Amino acid sequence: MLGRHIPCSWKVSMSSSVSKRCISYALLIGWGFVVLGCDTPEAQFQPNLLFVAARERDEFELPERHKDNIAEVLTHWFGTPDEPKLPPVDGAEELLDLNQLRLAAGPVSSDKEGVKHGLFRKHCVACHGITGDGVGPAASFLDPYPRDFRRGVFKFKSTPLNERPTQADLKRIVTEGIPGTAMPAFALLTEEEIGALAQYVTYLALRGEVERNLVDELYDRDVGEEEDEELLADISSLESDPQKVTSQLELILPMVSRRVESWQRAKTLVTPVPERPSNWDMQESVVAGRKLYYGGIANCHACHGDLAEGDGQETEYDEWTKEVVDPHKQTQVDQLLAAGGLPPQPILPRNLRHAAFRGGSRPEDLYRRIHNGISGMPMPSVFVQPKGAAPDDRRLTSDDIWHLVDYVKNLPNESLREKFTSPPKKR
Amino acid sequence: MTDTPHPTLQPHSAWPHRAAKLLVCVVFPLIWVGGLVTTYEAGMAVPDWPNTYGWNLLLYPWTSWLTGPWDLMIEHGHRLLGSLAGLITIGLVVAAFVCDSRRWMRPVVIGMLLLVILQGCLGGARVLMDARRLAMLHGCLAHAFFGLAVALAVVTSKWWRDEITGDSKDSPTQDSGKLGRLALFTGALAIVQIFLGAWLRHFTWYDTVGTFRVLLWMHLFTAAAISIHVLLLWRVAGKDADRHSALKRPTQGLLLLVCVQIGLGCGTWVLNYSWPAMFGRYQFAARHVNLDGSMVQALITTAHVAVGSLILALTVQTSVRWFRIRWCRMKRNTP
Repeated sequence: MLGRHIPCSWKVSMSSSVSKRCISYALLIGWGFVVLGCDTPEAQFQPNLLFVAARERDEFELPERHKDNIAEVLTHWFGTPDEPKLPPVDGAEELLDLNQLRLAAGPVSSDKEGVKHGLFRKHCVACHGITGDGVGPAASFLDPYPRDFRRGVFKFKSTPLNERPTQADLKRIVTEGIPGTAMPAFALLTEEEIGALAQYVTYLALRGEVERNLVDELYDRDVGEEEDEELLADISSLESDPQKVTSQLELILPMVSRRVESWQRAKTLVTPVPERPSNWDMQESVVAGRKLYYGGIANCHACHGDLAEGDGQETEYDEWTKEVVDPHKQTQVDQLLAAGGLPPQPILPRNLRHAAFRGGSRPEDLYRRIHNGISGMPMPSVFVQPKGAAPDDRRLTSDDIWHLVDYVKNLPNESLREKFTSPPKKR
Repeated sequence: MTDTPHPTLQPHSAWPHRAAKLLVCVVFPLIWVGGLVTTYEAGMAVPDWPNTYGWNLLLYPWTSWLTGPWDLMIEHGHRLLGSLAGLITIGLVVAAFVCDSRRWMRPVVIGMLLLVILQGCLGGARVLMDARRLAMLHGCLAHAFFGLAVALAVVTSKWWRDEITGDSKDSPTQDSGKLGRLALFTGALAIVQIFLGAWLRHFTWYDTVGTFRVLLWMHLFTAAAISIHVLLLWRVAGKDADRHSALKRPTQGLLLLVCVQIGLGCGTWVLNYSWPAMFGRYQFAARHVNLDGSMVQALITTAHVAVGSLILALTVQTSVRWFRIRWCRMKRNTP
């Protein structure tokens, strides 16, 4: 029993054998410190393996030396997660503020004045990952998955369907969060911190887009296995043969310029929100919106369902998924999972009766959502009649969109009984 | 009570017990503050160690501390409280050497002192090396130290002395040993759970999706195992009417804490990652948005950590008391 094993004559005085034992324990503990302390790897961006794998599946296998070269070129232009850099193209400095990027990048710390560093790793990396690939450690438990920034495509923004978001759009999502998802509101951060996070997201998106362009470039060049095949840019020879490397880089630099331009252009493309119709927020407007909801032009009910509970289609996937895998082909899904991808999640249309809109609930937000659609998702944009259109023009008018907004906002008040007793007539 | 003391006992001093109780009372809030440091990721708010921005830890201007940034306030407060725990441990060592005649107590308290020094060094190394794995170990060791402090509080208590003389109010008439085994196994599970929880709290960018998935499922599985064991403990302790109240009460506390802990665990997930997808059909989940860094989020998450340490403490208390009761009964029955 317990008492029998207790050494009653234990002496505190340290004999030599005890000293040796203590020293060996201390060394063991010290070694443990070093191992655990030094196991922190250097922060590095991860390559877009899934995108490459999808291209390889459809075309040919990309030689490893070219894949490695893409990473070298990207590091040369964009730096590392600890030391971000701006690519040497016109407009990069106007688009991205290096000081703000440095606040968001690097390991988490703060100083005596309370200025925080490593904001991205503190607030975002658990879900979005260090590369912004949407595969952070916690990602697999979330539905929807966190956004992969590397396509430069963002869902909730004020710009048209295929355009980049503005900085204001990104800041708004960071500040307000996205209801019904794991994306929290960071409203307690300072304006500067939120701005720094929006800048860093832009930086990661830009880097990711350039990476994809570099992969495309290699496929355009139809690179082979030959050792003497020219790399995109032989960064390792930058010191020994700077002229050659510079000319190689200049050849591919325009793709960075194009991406920077597309981000800069966004602020000039914000969709204007016109005046609301005179019958806004009146029964007449709601009825008109309801008619449009079930009509063949807006055709909202096809996805959002006859009950507007998201009971329409349930088998669609977003573009991020469809780009790397055909979710209906099990072999491709298996390959995706083996390559470290997440199981495809079908995109369910929003239940409009919850009055919970992920991109914002203000009438202006809903107007833009209907007008512009949602990038990367099955939700399309609408073609709006220009002023002075012919009377038989079947496109929606801006007033029609407002009526739809009115109907959608009114849906939580509409009883399902009313819905069942007066089934809509489809046009 | 008997008037003459038991022949094997020497006069009892309350000082070691007071010191042990004080240690428990300081280490528990220390775990809270440490939990807050992790929740707010404030571990690197003071980049040097053992100094604080070049000042001796104890001499850092209190106005700068209390009016400074929140991260600095909790990190420096954590260090001060840790120092206090170290000083109390030294006091415990002195009390044990001076006032406690049991010689086996000496290596135990020396071990406690070494452990608290190691814990301080771990915290320092975590800062100097900016290593989250060390922060995780630092978090685990804090719970272990708390459990040991509770064990010391039990072995230095009057109850411990009274048990050998049969002076305690209600000695058990029979004991199958099941309760002790259950308590020990629950304690072991609690330690595993604390380790898993610490890893989940300290996971970082270089942890993979797979690691997180395995850890989370293991955390949930261990939580279920602990709940079942605590339920069994409570049943076994309550079944026998003659059961020692010294065992019955901790098991009742354990059951309550496990219920609270499950609620806190669910709350921690929801407040950090929102409602799971299965709730998406409900309006409350569809409209839910977390406010990152909010007081509620920080308190619930940190309370989950702190209640975990209380569960470990109660299993330690139950186990140590069970051993004592069993050993004393055996001694009394020995002719």
